[in-house]
Amino acid sequence: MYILEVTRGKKMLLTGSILIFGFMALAVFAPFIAPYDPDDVKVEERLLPPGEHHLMGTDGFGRDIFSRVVFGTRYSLFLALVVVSINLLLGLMIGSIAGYFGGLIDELIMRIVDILLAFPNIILALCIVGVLGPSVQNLILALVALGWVGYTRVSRGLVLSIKEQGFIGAAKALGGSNMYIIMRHIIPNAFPPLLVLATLHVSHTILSIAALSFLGLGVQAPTPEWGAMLSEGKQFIFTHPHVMISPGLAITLSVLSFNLLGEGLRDVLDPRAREVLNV
Amino acid sequence: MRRLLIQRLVSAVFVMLIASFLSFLLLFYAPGNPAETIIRQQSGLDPTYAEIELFMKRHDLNRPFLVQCLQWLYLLTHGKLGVSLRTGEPVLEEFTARFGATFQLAVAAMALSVIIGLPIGVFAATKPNSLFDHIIRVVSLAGVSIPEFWLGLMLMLCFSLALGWLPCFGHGTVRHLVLPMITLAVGITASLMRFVRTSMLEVLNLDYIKTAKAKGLREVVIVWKHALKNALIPVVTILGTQVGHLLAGAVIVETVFSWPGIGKFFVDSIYARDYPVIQGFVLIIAAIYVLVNLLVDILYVYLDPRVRYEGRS
Repeated sequence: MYILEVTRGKKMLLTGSILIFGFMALAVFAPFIAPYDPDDVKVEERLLPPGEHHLMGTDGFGRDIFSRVVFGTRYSLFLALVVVSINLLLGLMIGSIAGYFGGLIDELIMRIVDILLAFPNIILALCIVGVLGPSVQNLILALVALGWVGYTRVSRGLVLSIKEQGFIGAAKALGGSNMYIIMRHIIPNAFPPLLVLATLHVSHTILSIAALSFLGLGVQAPTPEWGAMLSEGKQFIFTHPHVMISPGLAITLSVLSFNLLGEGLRDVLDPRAREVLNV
Repeated sequence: MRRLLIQRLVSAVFVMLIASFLSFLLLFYAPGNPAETIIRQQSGLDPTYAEIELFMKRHDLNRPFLVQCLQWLYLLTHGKLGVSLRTGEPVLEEFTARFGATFQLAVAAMALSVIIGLPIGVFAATKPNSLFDHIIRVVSLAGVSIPEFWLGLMLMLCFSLALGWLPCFGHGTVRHLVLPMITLAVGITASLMRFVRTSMLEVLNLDYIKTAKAKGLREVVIVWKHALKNALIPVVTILGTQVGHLLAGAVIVETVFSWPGIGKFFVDSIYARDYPVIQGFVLIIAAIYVLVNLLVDILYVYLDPRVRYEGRS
């Protein structure tokens, strides 16, 4: 059973990695891949169907959709990675402190975590962005406000089991300071299982960013972010549906590739870590 | 058991208090003057300074933070959530008037997910690593990867525009319900199906299933009666988290399909900076979420005697 899961995990891991690598390449080499300037407005070429000159057609302002999708990779992937990295680091730090020191600090942190976990997070994110005004900073803030909580809980669990192991006692006996032990021994050991969580979280984050941008509460219109492109194209859905198809496919494919990578990593990961992750 | 319940109730109340305070804090320090926005929306003209002053005075918007916060809490304990700045109706009434539509959508989506997700999950677990299992895995992965709002629009394109089978906007008949229901159900079905599969696989490896097999019971009876009963226990717990997913999904699906529920009203209120509605709705939604999870916890204890006995000792 376990062996079968590992082989299947490897396949998913490979597929996911290749796809993500492809998206990364699109993001990095966007100016060389995109045939047109993504912001180049050509009114006479508006709403052209997909064809020879415009692979995915043009949008309501005559901009080349393929170029915009390619440049959109930069926004969607970059933003999601930033949000997830902040959450991961914040959660890992706070969770390690809670788990390592225990006692009052632990109690306090976990109370806050429990309270925050009781919120449906997209509702609060909507609320934060809606109230503070739509901007990229507020979008990141909204997704970090509750995002760190999950990592904190999982890191704490991991740290609790790591701290009982012999090598931590040895490090202590050798006179290592608390900070040294956390940074040098605890965090490196807690990191791999958290990476699985983070990978799966990237896909959630891409979806949240796209949804908020679609509602007009995230990345704003002229920016070629996929959700914002769909928001702009919405008015043409019944007359020129091609405007809506490619950005949506791009979102789906990028989310799928991170899901594949995350699931693959989880299957390959040793069962002990899987138990702690409870996934 | 009772102690656990009381503990959960107290923490639920605590969560609610913090929730109301946080939502109040956030809205109090929000940029932009709601009075200006609302007057402009109602009259269509840019308001004068005096008009804004008057509006703020009438709605107590110019009092200090703590006074406003305490005022709000006081009203809250009397069941009053304030009045919508946009419509002039009490927030609670705005909520109850729309809750029916959202509830209908959510229940329909949940029912569809269970009807489809449960049998498929069980079936996949009985034949692990078969072709069917692999296909289901890929399909469910795709299901959780599609953004809901886009899926909704694509379904609209396909079934309303191209085929003309179903209406794409509005609310009222069963035909109106189909597309929003499917859109909302896809993600939930996908995760339910995988969860049931995992849970079922674990149970099928237990000793009592081997006993049942050795006894010569039919496969169908073993899987659907003996194993499913135990496999469903953990599934109950994820139903609680799925309610959060349903509420979040409802916001997006309702906006896409112009479904007149709480989600669409919430988004419209955010656009209009209708403070009392945003506060009230966040609070009510948090309350529903907390309450459902409380119920799920109780149900879990009731369903699984092992938890009950452990709690007692």
